[in-house]
Amino acid sequence: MTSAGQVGPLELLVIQPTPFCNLDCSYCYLPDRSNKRKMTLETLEKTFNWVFSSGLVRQPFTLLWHAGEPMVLPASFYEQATLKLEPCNVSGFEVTQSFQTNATLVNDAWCEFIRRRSIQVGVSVDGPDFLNDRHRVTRKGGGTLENVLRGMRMLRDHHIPFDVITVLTSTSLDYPDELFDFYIEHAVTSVAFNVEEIEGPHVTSSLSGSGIEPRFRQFYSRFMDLALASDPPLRVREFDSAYNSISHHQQPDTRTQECRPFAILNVDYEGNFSTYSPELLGLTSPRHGSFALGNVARDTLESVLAIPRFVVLDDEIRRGVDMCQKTCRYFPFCGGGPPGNKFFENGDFATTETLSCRLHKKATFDVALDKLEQMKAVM
Amino acid sequence: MHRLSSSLNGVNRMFDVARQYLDTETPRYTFRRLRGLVLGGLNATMFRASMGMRQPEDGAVMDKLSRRSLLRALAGGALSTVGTVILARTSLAALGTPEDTKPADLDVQARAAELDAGGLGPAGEAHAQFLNFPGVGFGNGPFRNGGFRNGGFLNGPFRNGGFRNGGFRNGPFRNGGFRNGGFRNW
Repeated sequence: MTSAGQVGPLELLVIQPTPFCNLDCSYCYLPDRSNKRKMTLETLEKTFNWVFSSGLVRQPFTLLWHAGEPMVLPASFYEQATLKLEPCNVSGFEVTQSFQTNATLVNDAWCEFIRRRSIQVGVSVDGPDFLNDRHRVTRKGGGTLENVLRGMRMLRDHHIPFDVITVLTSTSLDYPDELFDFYIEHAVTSVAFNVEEIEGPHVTSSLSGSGIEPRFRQFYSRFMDLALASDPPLRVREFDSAYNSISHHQQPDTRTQECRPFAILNVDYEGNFSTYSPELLGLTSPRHGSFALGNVARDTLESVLAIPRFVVLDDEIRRGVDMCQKTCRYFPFCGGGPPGNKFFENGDFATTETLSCRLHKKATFDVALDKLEQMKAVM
Repeated sequence: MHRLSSSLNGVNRMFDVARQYLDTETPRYTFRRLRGLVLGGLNATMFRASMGMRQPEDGAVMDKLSRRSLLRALAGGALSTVGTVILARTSLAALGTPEDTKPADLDVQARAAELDAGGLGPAGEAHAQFLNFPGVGFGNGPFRNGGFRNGGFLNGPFRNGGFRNGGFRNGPFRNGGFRNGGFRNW
């Protein structure tokens, strides 16, 4: 049986303070985003106590407020959360709080809180209005960019650094220059690209059609040309990731964060928790049952590690990583595809390639190799 | 011929946009940034045409701030620097046009090993400079890990990799685990 010391250490604690989101993005993977319930402070305190008594905290970790729009709750909720966190943290390790937000609700009170508590911020925005407002819409279907830009402007005005995640759809691939100019114009210094994935209730992707891969490579190559030449530089997460994985290969027995049990702990507003890919929280499978493995109010880590659902899940994910290692030349630079993507696309964790692998890992890595080879050749 | 015509139409459209937005509000951007926007816009149109990409729909060439930026840059004489910057972009294009991107079935491990030999050499140094460019908001940013929330390389690309104690420890990306498959949605 797996013991608590064999899992973790915790790197990322994802807490869902509410499943609700004020937006209704067309590609969202959250199944319950109309639910306005919120986590109580009592559940939050139980969560913190569970985490710090679990044995998972063996290094600093990040507390990410996510999986719903965190800012639909008032800043005072997070102020109280922070006050609860501090006495619960008996580990002595630093906990960095982070928000992933659509930025539409940012105001002076939020900025003051974010600055005072040194909370890190990521903004989700998909570029100019003709790209962003196509998918990132209000519940009435209206565009959101104007409000996002207002929020970003407030963050800048308060000297709060933030980075941006952009979801690429098929349409986006025609506009590398427009996206680049958008980031420069709005003082974005670092951007991360995600691809429109097949996850949860979002069962199709505009990127799953034929002919997408060459277009994606063309887009990303062009974008990287611009990013590498920009002044000041625009950092691109995927390029940095590739660069670093070239220098520091995956150790053969190391699984990726999403593939390692309890490197990520996901806790929903009711205290139910899961591990592996955060997108799995709140979902069930006929074969696996609920991906929520327990609840912070009643289940210990040891008890969860012994339940058949976890054992089966861990075994399946492990076999999937082994298959990646045996069949994929990119494995030393990746460490295994996200289990969530495998499950949602292939119906099984013990599988290999997904859309996310082809575009987000392989294509971006190929382009990074090209650029680095070219840089090396001319310098 | 069609592509050239398309490019010129795009450029003309942008100048029309600029004229429409004469006398709009005060620019909020540096000259360098405005210059980049102007030339980026021009270059984008030509690039898209040359690659057979769709041109943006009318009104979607740039958003409103871009239009103001374009106006101010034109008014500020940014066109005098066109040659320089277009040359810079052309050089990059020559280094890595999309057509040059190699297919995924080439031996990526061999290519990576060759690149890695000698610590990526000048390319690595160049990239290190890129990563540590002053004033970008990381390295010396207000947060202990620099600009990106997930601490970039603080947690290293792989748990037991060498990055934890070296290299680009202060890298910008929040989700430092991303390199080894960390959750990508934050």
